[in-house]
Amino acid sequence: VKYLLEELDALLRGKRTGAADLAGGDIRFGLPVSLQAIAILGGVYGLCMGLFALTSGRSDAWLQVVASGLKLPALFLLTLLVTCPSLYVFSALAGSHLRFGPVLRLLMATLAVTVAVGASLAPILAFFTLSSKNYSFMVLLNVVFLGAAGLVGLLFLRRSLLALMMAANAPESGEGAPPLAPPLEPGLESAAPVEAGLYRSLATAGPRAPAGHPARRQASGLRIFRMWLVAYAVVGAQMGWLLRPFIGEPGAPFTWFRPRESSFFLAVVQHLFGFLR
Amino acid sequence: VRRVLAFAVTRKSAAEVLRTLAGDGALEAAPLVAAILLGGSLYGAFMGTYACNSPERLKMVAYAAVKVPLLVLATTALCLPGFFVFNTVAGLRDAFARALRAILAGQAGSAVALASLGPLIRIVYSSGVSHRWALLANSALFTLATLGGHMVLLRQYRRLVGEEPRHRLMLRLWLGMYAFVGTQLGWMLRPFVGAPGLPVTFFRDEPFSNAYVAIAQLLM
Repeated sequence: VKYLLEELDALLRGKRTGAADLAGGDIRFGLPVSLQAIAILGGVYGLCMGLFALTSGRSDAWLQVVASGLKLPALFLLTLLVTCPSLYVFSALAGSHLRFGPVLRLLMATLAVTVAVGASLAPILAFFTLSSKNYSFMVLLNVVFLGAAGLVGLLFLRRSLLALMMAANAPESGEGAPPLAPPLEPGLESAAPVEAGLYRSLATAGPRAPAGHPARRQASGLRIFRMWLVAYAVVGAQMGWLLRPFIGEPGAPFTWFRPRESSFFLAVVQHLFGFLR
Repeated sequence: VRRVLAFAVTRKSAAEVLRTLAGDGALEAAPLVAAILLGGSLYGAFMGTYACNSPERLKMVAYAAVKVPLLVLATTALCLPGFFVFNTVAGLRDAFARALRAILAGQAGSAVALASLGPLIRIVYSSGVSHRWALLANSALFTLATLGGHMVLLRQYRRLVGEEPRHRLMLRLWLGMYAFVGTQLGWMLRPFVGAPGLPVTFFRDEPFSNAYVAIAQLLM
C-alpha cells in the first residue's frame, strides 16, 4: 500500500511525466500500480456513491453499495478495454510514433489520476449522500464530481501525451512529416515547452511550422488527444449507461443492471428538471 | 481576558495569534486551530443565549458553543482531501502546508472576529428582538466576521499567488468547495439560536434534508 501511495503521489505531482522521465518515449508508471489504484480509489468513490441506497432503509441496500464499489472501477476499465485498440490505431495513423505499451500505460495512468481526484472528493459525496433524500440532486452532484475528476484527468493526459510525443519523436526530428498530417489549424501552432504547466497557455509559433518541428509534433499530439477524448467520452457515457444503477433510485428494488432504455444525455436533462421541479 | 485566551495547549498568547493574523509573524497551525475552537465557541455561547430564561434553554448555550467551531472544522475536514489532490495535480504540493495555514488563518480571523462580536449579539437579544430578527442579526454578524476572515485569507494568499499564479485558481476552488459544503452542514446543524417554545435539541427533530433542494423549492 505504501509503494502504491508513493507511486500515485509521484504521478500526481508530475514526477512520472516530466520531460526527463519520458526521455525514452515511455512512461515509467507500471500497469499493476495503475490497476490497483483504479480498483481501490474507484472502489472508494463507488462505495460513497452507493451509500445513497442506505438512506432508503431497505434490507438489500448494502448490495447496492457493494455493486457501486465494483461497477465504478469496471466502468473505467471496460471503457478503456473497448477503446484502447482504436485509440492506438488512430494515434498511429495520425503519425504519433508511439508504441502500444506506452500508450496503454499513459491511458491507465490517466485513469489513475482521474479516480484519485474522484476519491479525494468522496468525503464530500458521502456527506451529501447521507444527508440528502433528493435523488436528482445526488445524480447531478455525481455528474459534477466525476466531471471535475475527468477534467483533471484530461488536463493530465493532454500534458503527458504532448510530452510523450516530443520524447518519442525526438530521435526522428528533422525527418519527413507524418504522411497523413493535414495543415495546422489556426490556434494549434504552439511551440512552448510542454512541461510549462497545466494552466499556462501555449505560445504561438508562426503560421506554419516546418516538418519535424516541435510545433508540428504538438499539433499532431493535440489532434490525437481530441480523437481520444471524443472516442473515450462517447464509449464511456454509453458504458456508464449500460452499467446502471450506480446510485439506486429510491423505491426501486435492487438490480445489478437495468433494462436498456433512453440515453445518458437525455437522462441528465431529465434530472435537471427533476431537481428544479 | 488575555489570560483566559492564553492557550495552554499551544503556549501562544492571544496577542501572538492576533499579530499572526495581522500579517507579521510566522504562521503555525496549532494556535490557529485553537483560535478557531475558542473564538467559535465563545460566539456560539453568546449566540445560544437567546430567550435564555430556563435551565432547559441553558443547554442551547452549550450546543451552540459546540456547533460553531464544529461547522468550521468539519467543513474544512470534508473539503481538505479534494483540495490536497487538486493542489498536487496543479504542481503546488510543496506550498500546500502554507496554503493550508493561510486557510486556517482566515478561519481563525473569522472566529476571533466573531468572538469580539459576541457581546454585541447579547445586547441585540437583550433589546427584546423576535426570533426572526435574532436570526437576521446573527447572519449579519457572521457575514461581517467572514469578511474580516477573508481579509486575513487574502493577505496570506497574496504571497502564494505572487510566487505562483496558479494559487489564485486553487483559492477560488477552495472558496467554492467550502461554501458548498458549509451551507449544507450549517443547514444540518440547525438550530443555532433555537426558537422559543420549541424543545431544545442538538439536531432538529426531523430527518436531514438538503439545503439546496430547500432553496430550489423556495425559489420555484
